[in-house]
Amino acid sequence: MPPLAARRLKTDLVMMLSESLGQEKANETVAAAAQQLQLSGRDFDREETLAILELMASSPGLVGIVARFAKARAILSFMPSDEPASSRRT
Amino acid sequence: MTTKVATALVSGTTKDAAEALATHVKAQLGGEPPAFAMVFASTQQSLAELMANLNGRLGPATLLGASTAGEFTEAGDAKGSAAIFAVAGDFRVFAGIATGLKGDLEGAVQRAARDLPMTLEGYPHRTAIILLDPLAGNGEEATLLVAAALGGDVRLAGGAAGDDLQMKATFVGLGETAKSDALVLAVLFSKAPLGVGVCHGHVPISEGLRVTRAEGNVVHEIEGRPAWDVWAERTRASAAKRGVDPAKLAAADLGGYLLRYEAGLATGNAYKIRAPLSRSPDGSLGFACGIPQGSVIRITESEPSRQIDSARQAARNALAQTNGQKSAGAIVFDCICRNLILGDDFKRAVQSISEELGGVKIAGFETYGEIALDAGDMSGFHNTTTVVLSFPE
Repeated sequence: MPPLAARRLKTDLVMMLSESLGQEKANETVAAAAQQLQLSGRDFDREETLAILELMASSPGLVGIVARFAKARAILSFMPSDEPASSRRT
Repeated sequence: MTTKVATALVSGTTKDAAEALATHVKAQLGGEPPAFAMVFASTQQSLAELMANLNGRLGPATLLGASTAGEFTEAGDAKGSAAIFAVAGDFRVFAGIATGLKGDLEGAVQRAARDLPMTLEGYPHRTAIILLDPLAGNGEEATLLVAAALGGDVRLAGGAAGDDLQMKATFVGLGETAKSDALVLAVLFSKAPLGVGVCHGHVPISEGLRVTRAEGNVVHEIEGRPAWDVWAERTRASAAKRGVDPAKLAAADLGGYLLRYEAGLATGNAYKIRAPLSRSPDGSLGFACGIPQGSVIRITESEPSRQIDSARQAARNALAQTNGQKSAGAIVFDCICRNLILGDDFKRAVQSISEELGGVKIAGFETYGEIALDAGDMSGFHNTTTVVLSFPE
């Protein structure tokens, strides 16, 4: 099993999205995507997190844009901290 | 190189206003050419004509502009006027403008950002300013796309243009032009970091209300009923304290009413505020950005004292980002709702921002939306807030 730092709690993912969508809508949207991907855990690894956001990113309008943005942020957050900042482009 | 700031607030015809603004800038900067200037114009002046008239008078400065719902400097606030913020110092500024914001959002962002450099040798700090037409209804979407286009480490500040609460047409400008359905994007490179602070003072007055039918930025139904019916019902008691009945609002008063009672999205222990800008005959409400169907909103309002406190806090937040460097002056993007709530005390809120920054010059406008996004943030479009963009000495 990967170390905890390489995983993201479902609640953290919801909080990340709630800044734009509100907590309730973010929670529903993440739960729906996780269910569609048959992910039932309380936390997700890098690939699972990105898969959830990728699925949400196919939604029209604000949800899709927020998910795409969150995916870029998530990729950065999973990077090792010694990664040069100049290569961190979303 | 020392940073110098000039501000001015003038009234009169577009031509007279341009001449007066240019004269004030030259006098206050001691003849030094500004690197950057931003002009704010009420509906009494043509932003396009004002910019065309000013552009040549300010030397090589990159000139940005927005139409407003009110204008102010550290000396006071006004309606029907024009204000300017100009800064001279060691800054390099690049900017782009694009139209088609409503119909081609991603294309517009790409076109505005196309020629903006990501880095500049000798200038380690990069801050972006966004000005946009809120009547396009996609303020949050545009902000996130700009942040993605510019890269994860950029700090964003800006505002959504106004039109004195007419809700008909708002304009943003660059150089000699001003356009509707547009966004302007500027990138400022500096030797020291600019500070961006944001804060609001709204609290919920309703329980959670589910958006049961919505398309883009238009909320048709809340809890299965026309959105306006629910809005009027849940705000009636609060409005009655001011002698206002939402069922008897004159058309000219609707915009102000909607901006006093805005929607709050729960984000944990705080609320992100979303502004309704218009009402259609079917009772639907048009917002300044997308509100997804299924969202749960709370109707919010604010007491005047909270508006003063939040303005001060926004200034402190901005100053905290400048690595201890003093402020030379600031641009302030301030929601029009704050003026509606504070009335004559709005001037005090503006002055409190200047005081918190050390008594510096500030200029800004009353917006239909504010933009503040720091590296790592997940949302950048705000309503009911004060956004302070502080320039280092």
